[in-house]
Amino acid sequence: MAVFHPFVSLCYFASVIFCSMFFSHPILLLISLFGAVFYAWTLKLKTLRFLPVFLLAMLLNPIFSHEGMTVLFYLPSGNPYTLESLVYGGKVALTLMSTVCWCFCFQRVMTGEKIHCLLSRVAPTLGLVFSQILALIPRFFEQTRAVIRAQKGLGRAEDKRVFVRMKRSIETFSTLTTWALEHAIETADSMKARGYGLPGRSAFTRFRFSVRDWLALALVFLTLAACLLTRGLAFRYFPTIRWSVAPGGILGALSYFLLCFYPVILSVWEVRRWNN
Amino acid sequence: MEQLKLKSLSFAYPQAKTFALDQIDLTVEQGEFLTVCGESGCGKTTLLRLLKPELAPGGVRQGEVLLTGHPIEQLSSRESAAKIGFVLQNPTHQIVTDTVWHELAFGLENLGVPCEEIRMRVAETASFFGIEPWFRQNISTLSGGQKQLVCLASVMALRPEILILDEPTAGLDPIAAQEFLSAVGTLNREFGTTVILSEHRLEEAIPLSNRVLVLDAGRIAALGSPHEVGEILTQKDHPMRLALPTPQRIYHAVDRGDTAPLTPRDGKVWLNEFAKTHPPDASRIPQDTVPQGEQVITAKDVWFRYEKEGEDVLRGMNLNVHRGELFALVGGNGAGKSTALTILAGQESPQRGKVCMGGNVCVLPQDVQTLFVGNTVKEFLGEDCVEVAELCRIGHLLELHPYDLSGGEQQRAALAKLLLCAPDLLLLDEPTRGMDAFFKREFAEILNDLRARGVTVLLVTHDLEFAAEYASRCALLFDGEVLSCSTPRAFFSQNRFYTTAANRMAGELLARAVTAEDVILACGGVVPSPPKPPQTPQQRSAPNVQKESHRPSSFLAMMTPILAALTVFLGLRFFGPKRYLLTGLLILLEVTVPFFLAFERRKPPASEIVTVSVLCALAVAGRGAFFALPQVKPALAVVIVAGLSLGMESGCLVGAMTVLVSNFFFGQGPWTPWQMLALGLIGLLSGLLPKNIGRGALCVFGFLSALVIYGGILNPASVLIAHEAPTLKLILAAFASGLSFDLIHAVSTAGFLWFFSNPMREKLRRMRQKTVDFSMVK
Repeated sequence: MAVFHPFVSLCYFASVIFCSMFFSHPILLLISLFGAVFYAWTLKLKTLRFLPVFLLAMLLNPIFSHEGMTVLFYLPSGNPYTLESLVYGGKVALTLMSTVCWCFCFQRVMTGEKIHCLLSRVAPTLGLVFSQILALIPRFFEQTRAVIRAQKGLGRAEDKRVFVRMKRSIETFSTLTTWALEHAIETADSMKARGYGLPGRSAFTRFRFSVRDWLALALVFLTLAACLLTRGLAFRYFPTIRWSVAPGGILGALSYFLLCFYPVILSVWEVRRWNN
Repeated sequence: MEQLKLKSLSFAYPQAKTFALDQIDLTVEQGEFLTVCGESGCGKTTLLRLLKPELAPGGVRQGEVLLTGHPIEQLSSRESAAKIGFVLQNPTHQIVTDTVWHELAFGLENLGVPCEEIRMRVAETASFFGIEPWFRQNISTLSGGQKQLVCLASVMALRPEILILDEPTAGLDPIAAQEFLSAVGTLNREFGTTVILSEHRLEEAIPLSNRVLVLDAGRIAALGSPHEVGEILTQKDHPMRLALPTPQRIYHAVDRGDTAPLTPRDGKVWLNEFAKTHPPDASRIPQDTVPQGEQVITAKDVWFRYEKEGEDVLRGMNLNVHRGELFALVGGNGAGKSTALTILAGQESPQRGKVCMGGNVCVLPQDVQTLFVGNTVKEFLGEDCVEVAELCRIGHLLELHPYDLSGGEQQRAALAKLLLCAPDLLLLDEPTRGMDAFFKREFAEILNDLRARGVTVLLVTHDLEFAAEYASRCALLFDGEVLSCSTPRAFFSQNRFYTTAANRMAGELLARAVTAEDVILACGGVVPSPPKPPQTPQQRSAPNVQKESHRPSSFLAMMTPILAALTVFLGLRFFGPKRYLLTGLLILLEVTVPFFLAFERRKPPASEIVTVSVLCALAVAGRGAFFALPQVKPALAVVIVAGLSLGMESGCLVGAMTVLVSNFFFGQGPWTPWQMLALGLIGLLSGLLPKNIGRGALCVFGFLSALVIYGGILNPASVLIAHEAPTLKLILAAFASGLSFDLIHAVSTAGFLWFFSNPMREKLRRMRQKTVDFSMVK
């Protein structure tokens, strides 16, 4: 997704995250999860470390919810621990896991420049604020380090007591705040000097919407429409587990597969092209 | 053609008794290069700012400024932005955006240039200034010199006719400064851009200039070609003659020839010519005294690298310094000077070798503002500061805010702070950066006073002239080791390239001459007596206290809850499965979007935009200051103070943006929108608090908003994201599991507000006063 115009990437991630949150059929959830995990893998992100947390969420769900007919055993409180609740817990875990994985990919793909491009289209001033904050943060971190170093240079010994550490942290933050606000005036001057505040401001981005972006966007919307509109995959969790499959459902699942694996397919294709 | 004309221009700051500028008459021709110089506080900055309507300070102005015959106030903002380019002193703080390309486009965006044309103009500007290799980089990865070049390029992208630069090289090292000035020189020569430059680094600026203007206490002390100005200054015995380029200083002190040489090349030719008739006498150059006595700093075979796999920065450094010395460690960029300083200060320990420091060590950081705390110099230094303040010559400044001091005064205030720690050894990192010639001399005098008291001074510097003139010994650090170490005359006279201007000029005739004074003495000239310190400190005026009114958008505040309630009612009724999540997301949009759009439509002024950005960045980066207390994050407290001081609209914005950006750095998730809602809401509510709310009440508000609003939104949200039909039990379970975190959050927020809310509101008030003060043009 990283190669497309930011708007395409945004539409794509919005679609998959929306679907991952709202679909409840286990097959669809699995498709989404695998799509996200593989994509994260191509982006060199490690997502499997979350697995234990989500497994725990699955196992704990029946402790809070006792719906369902198939009792596995009784909890010390006397409430039943049911199979249906356990399966439902699995569904919850899958939803969370796939959503989080997609968000991680989103984070990696949507660089500051891309978010700025999107923001400045709808709200140029907010776009500018965003870009400015991104400029300030590394500056502030650097200054914080410099302040800590300077305080050490006053010949003070290291002190492990919480109270002293707190006092010094407060001093550091205070120094940083004064510095930041005092110099903000210069930034405002520099903006005014270059004509900020004139009517009719334009917002420049380096991205251009090409034919390829149109095609990708069409693909995203077509597959999204297909899996939202087709009916035929049903799954019931309570009171007993029931499912049914109709031909339309298979079509929907296939298009959802295409949607979720689109970035993986693209990167495989890319690798093959390089190898040839 | 005359481009800029000043007709008896006078200016006084509000409530000041004296004029900051007094009866200035000046004509600047098209394509001219005018250098403006003078001691700190002589009115340079005021003069330059009056030439740019947007930056003109508030106060009383008499006389006229004409741009090609028309009064400058009649210039429309659009014309002013396009015709008059202005580069400020500090490159880091005048950069507005996060990437190089965006910074170059910023001015063009403001003028509303269409995207395709911006693309073209940015491209050609970037390739002219050689910025292409780092065109796509983040600003934070650039060096100071590169940043200042970006500032210059972003101003030049607007194609101004006049370029005004206010001490643009003050924060740069000499090599970067030289590169920057030569870029300015090229613009002037190749494109005929009129340049008005204020500088204290005259060594490089004067050879580029057609004319030089010397200001003294708001009046013209000298105006004319470099040669003429040199003559006038010498005649008047004006302190600014110290700042002239070395060849010119020597020429005027000896006073022979037709025109003054400005560069070492011309100086050499002139001196050789002069020497034919007046053979110089090398014996008049004073002898160095070799320092002796107890060794207080010894470094023996020190090896150091920052990371295990990294490269060695110090490779067997050896160093010996005697008590009472002023020892200068010189070297190029990346030679390891600053690293050597951190090792000597004991902030890092070497991997191999031995460092022995005899006594209490204090370090003066390169950026002295990193030391400043408190609202006055007195508060910064502490109670028993009178004696030290007199020693550092800041006795008359004790009641001022540290940031209201000039660069040189700030340096001395920081030095005073160090002296209060009773150091035996003083380590200084680039102390003369940004100081004018006069301040340097005064600084050296203070250092000499300290040496007389038995303090040993070691300084790391790029400033060869300073080292040559004042150091007892100099050492060259190259590639991680000390290559040569001897008294200044012995040290510099053996070098051919890495040496002072005086030595480059006279080295062939007088090997031992390393300062202008040496050459003057050898040629039989008279060394000008050191100038008197400036009589009175500059008149400073208290800024007018003005209240800024905040128009609360009460319509929005009323409509939002109604809309939200309606959504809850309809959503829960008509949405299908997952109706809770869908309803929640809808409310989220309804609450945040109107505020964002209101901010957008209002077209907030530059100072407000910057304040919002700074507060957001503080909320995110503030955690860096609390690395020692990992659970503590100041974000929520900053948002509350922002809402309280700036009103609910900005409060909401700061809250929401803080989350967006913070998660951008530390991980987005499905919870991002909910956090935005929570923090936005808290910012909004704090905007509704009474402005004079007490500290205790604010802490209670902070505690409750962390526990009830933040926890109350995020805990159910975590259930909503995954469950179709959340039961009360599930939500309660979520609250219970989040309680410990919420409590820590609430307590730390309250704690923050206790310590910070008042100082921070005070700082915001001060900033607003300053911006109001400066925006009262005319």
